[in-house]
Amino acid sequence: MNVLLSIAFDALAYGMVLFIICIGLSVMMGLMRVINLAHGAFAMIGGYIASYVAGPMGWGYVPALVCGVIGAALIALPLERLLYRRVYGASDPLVQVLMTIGLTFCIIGATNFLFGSAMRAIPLPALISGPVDLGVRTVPAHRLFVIACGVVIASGLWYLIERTSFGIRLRATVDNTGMAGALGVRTDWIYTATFALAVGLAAFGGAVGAEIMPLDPYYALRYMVTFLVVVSVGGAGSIGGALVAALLLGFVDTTGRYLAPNYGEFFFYLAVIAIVFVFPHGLLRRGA
Amino acid sequence: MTAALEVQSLCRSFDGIVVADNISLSLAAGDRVALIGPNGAGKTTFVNLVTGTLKPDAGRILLAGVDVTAVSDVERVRRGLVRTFQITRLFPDMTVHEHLMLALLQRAEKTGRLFASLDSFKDAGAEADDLIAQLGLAPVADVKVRALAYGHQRLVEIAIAVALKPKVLLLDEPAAGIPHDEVLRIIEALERLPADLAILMIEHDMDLVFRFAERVIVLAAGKIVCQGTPEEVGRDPAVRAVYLGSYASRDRDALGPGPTVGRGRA
Repeated sequence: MNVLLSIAFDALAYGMVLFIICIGLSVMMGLMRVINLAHGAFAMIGGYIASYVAGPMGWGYVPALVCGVIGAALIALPLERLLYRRVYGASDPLVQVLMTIGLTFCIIGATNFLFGSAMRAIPLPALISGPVDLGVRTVPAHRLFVIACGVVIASGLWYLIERTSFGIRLRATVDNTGMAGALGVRTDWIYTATFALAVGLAAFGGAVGAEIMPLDPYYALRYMVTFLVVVSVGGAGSIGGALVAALLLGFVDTTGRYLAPNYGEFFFYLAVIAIVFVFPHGLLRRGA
Repeated sequence: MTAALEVQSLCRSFDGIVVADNISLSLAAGDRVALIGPNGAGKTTFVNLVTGTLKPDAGRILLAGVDVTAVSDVERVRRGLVRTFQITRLFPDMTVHEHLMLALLQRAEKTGRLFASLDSFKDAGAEADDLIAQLGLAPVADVKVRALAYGHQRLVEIAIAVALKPKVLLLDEPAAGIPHDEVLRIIEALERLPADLAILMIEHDMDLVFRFAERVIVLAAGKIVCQGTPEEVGRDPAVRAVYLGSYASRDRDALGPGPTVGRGRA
C-alpha cells in the first residue's frame, strides 16, 4: 500500500513536471508547426539560471524561478527572430529538425564551457524542502509544490487560449495567418509572444523540476525524446492531451522504475508504442 | 468632397507581363461599384495592389485624400480599407461569435487588455450579437466555422469585414461557389450594409452585379476598357468584344481562357 502511494505521488509530480515543460513544445508544434528539438535545451537554460541565482548569487528560490523564466525567454527571443522565424511551417521538417538539433548541441557546449559538467542543484527554501504530513502518509513538500504548479499552469493556459483577447488572436493566427493579418492582427508579434511563452514555461519546468529531472549539460539531449513522446502521444496543440499524456507516461515510467528497475525505460517505450498503435493521432486532437 | 478611395495611374507588371496598366478610378462615400472582367483580366491583382498585398510599380492610392501607397496592408485596414477574400479564408476552429469578437477587438485596438476575459468586453459582445442577427447568422452563432454551410461562411466573411467599420469595402467575389438560390441571401445582406460605405465588388455573377452596382468598371488585360451604368456597360461593343472572345483572340495570353459571363447562373 505504502509503495503504491509512493509510486502514485512520485508519478503525479513527475508527470506534472513533464507537462509544464512539454506544454510549450506542444503549443509550438501544434500551433506554430515547428518541431523544436531545442525545447529541452531551453528548459535546461532556465534550470541553470535558477541554480545560479539561488546558489552562488543567493537571491532565494522565487527570484531564481523568475530569473530563470525571464532569462531563458530573453536568450530565446533573438533566436526566434534570427532562426526560428525562417523555418515556421517549412515544407521540409528536416530543416527544422537539423537546425534545432544543431542549436541543442551549441547550447550543451556553451553550458559545459560556462558551468562545467557537474550536476547542478537549486537549493529549496525551507517551506518546500521538508516533508508534509498528508494524514495517510508524509510526502516531500516540493512534490506538492510541483503538482500545484502544474494545476495552475494547465488551467491558466486553458483560460489564456480559450477565453482571452490574446487567445482569440493566437487561435486566429494559427488557423489562418493571412486572414488574421488582414484583420490587423500583428501575427509576427503573436508568434514571438507565443514562442516566448513556450520557452518561459519550459524554463519554469526545468527549474521547478530540477529535483526530479537533475540538471547537467546533457539534460537537453537526455530528455529530448521523452518530451517529443509526450507531445506526440497527447496530440500536438492540445492542453488536455499534453496533460493526460504527461501524467500517463509519468505514471508508467515511475512504476517501471519502482517495480522493475533493471528494465530501464523499457516499459515507458512499450507504453508509447501501444498508445501510438491505438491512437495514431495522439490521445486528444486539438479542438476535440 | 474628397473621394473615399482614389486610385491614380496604377501600374504593375510581372516578368514583363503588364497586369495593371495605368488604372485610375475613384469611389465616393456610398458608391456601389462593380469591377468585372474575364479571368486573367487583372482584377485580383488590382485588389491586391489596393489593399497593399502587392506593391505597384507606379501610381498612387489615396484613402480619404491621404496617400497610402507606402503604407502597409495592416495599417490600411486600420485606416478603413477592408477586403473580403476570394477563397474562403476563415478560422475553421473558431465559432461565428468568436470571429466577430476578434474583428471588433481589432477595430477598437483593445490590445492593452490582452489577458482580460472575452466576456468582459461587453460592448463588443453586444455589437457582435447585433451583426450576427443582422446577417441572419443567429442560429449558428456558436458553431465552429468548419461546420458551416458554404453560403453561411461567405456571410461570416462579410460580417467580419463590416464589423471593422470600413470606409471602403472591397468584396472579392462574394457569390463565388455559392448555389444560386443562396445568392439571394448574400444580396439581402449586402443591401443592409451602411449607406455611407463605399463598396467595390469584384464579381462574375452578372445577376448580382446588375442588382448591386450603380456603376460598373470593365477590366481587360490590366486596363479599364469601359465604365458606366450597368445598362451602358451592357450595351458597350468593347465589353461585348471582351466577353465574346474577339478581344481575347487578339490578346489571348493576357486575357486567359474564354468568356465568363453568366458563370454561376446555371
